[in-house]
Amino acid sequence: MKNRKTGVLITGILMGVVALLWMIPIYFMTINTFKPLKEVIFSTAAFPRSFYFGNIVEVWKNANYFGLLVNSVIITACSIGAIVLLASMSGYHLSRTGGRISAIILSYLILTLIIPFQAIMIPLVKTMRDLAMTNTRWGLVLVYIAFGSPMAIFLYQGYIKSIPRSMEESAVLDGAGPLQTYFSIIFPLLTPMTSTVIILQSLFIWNDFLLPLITLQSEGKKTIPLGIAGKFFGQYAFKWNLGITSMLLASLPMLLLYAFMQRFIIGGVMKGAVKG
Amino acid sequence: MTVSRKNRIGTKESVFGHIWWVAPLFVGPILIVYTVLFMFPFLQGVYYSCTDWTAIAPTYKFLGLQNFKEMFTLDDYFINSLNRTFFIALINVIFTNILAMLFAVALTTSFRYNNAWRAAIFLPNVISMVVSGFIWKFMFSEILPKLGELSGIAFLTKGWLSDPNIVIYSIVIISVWWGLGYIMTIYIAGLQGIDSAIIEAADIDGCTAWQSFFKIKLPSMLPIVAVGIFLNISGSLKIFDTIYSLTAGGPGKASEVAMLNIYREAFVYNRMGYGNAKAVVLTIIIVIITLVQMKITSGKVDEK
Repeated sequence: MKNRKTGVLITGILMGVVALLWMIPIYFMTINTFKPLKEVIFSTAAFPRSFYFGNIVEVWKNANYFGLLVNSVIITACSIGAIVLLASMSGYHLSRTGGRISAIILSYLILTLIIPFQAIMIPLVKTMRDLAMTNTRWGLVLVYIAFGSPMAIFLYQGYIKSIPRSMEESAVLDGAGPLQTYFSIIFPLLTPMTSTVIILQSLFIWNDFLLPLITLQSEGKKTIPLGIAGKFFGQYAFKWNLGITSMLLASLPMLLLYAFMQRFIIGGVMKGAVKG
Repeated sequence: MTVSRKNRIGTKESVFGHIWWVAPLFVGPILIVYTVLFMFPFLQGVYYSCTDWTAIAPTYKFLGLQNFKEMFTLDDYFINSLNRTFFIALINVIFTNILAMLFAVALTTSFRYNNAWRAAIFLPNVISMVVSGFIWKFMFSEILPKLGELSGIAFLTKGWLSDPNIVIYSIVIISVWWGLGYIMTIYIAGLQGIDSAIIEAADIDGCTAWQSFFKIKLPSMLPIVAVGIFLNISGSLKIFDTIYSLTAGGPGKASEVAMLNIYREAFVYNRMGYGNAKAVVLTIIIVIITLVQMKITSGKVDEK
């Protein structure tokens, strides 16, 4: 028994070392944000002599950080809102109707899990151009709905099976219509799955780079990963102080969210994995 | 995993089955968006891959399989990028999955800070890959050489991004750093899902930790391991963002992966038809791997 306890302790300490190793890049990114260029170049690995905020101020103004943040928030929130609404509705309907047609629709949607994005990337830009969707935020949102919904539908569809039919049958007896039944009875019961869907989709949509890269051109519409990356290639190419600061600012919203909701986010990933 | 779902769909009618507008309203919007923005471009793309379509010329003509012939006989850059992608994927999958499993087992002990360690290892996942590439560009070009000078460890001052033979391994380091947390989390979920009574019984019977892992935990986790490996393989084959920001394919073409080659063909050189033919080849490879994986997983689940 004592042997086992020391084993647990040693493993725990070793894993602590691994965790520290994992944080090294974040540590160096953070400390170099608070140094002027000279100090970044000549004493990169050292802790800052004094905290310098010039980089943050410059990136904030220069990269239109606030504008990028607003775009990212709008695009992510609208996509996820629509995915949750539409995927839960269709997941509910497909789960309850069963039969041949539902099975065919599900297999049709399953193709997104098999066909990778690269297969449609090039013609997608053409289709979007034909529909006047390129370089618009709503166009990007619609594409995220098309890509993100199938996975969400499967998660919902599986979850809804665990909800007894008697729930909606009693609502119908009380005279409720389909929409009323859905929104007042079913949707609230789906909350645990909805939080998993929100977590998985926001990790994907907020951090996505390739799709914004090929569809958004004007500066005013770019998302955080795209806007920051563009700046880095251009103006900040050899200015490590500004480059590294913009990396920190780009990651900050998600890092803050993670700091507060870490258990919740990891829990969502775990649930999604077991169900999927 | 998904195929078996089909049989589980109930055959009973929905309580609203008799109202004609329910099905179109609940399922219609998704089907329309999905068909227009996913299925239609996909089918279009398959057709374009047999044409000489460019973004500039107003017309294009049908070429049959000529694009594919060009790709495999004349386009060394693409073939090399494909091989490179497989190589990165293979090493990445081996390292990520073995370490993820090791860490998952180590983090399901009763140690009180395990959740904190898990959170630290998962953290890179909330950072976008393109940003991760930049952070590591800084690490490889500024921090590691400086640490090497300070500590006298010559290994750290290697040309992480400038040596064509090393750059591939630098990419693997980032991929493991970024992707391990997610896979590890899935494995932790799997380990916690194992009935603890079985493990306790094995403990009482004098099973060593080693035996209990290989004889009990690992076999009952095989479906989840298959999911982890699959996610990892398909993610590695599509690697793009990290390399775009880390090296842009350099030095020379030493780190150009398939997706970067396809992206450039289509959006830089504007040969959309040819680029799409390459994308179709990559797709076929990924689809084959996916189908094999699904087959293995559903086979494993049915056995249970």
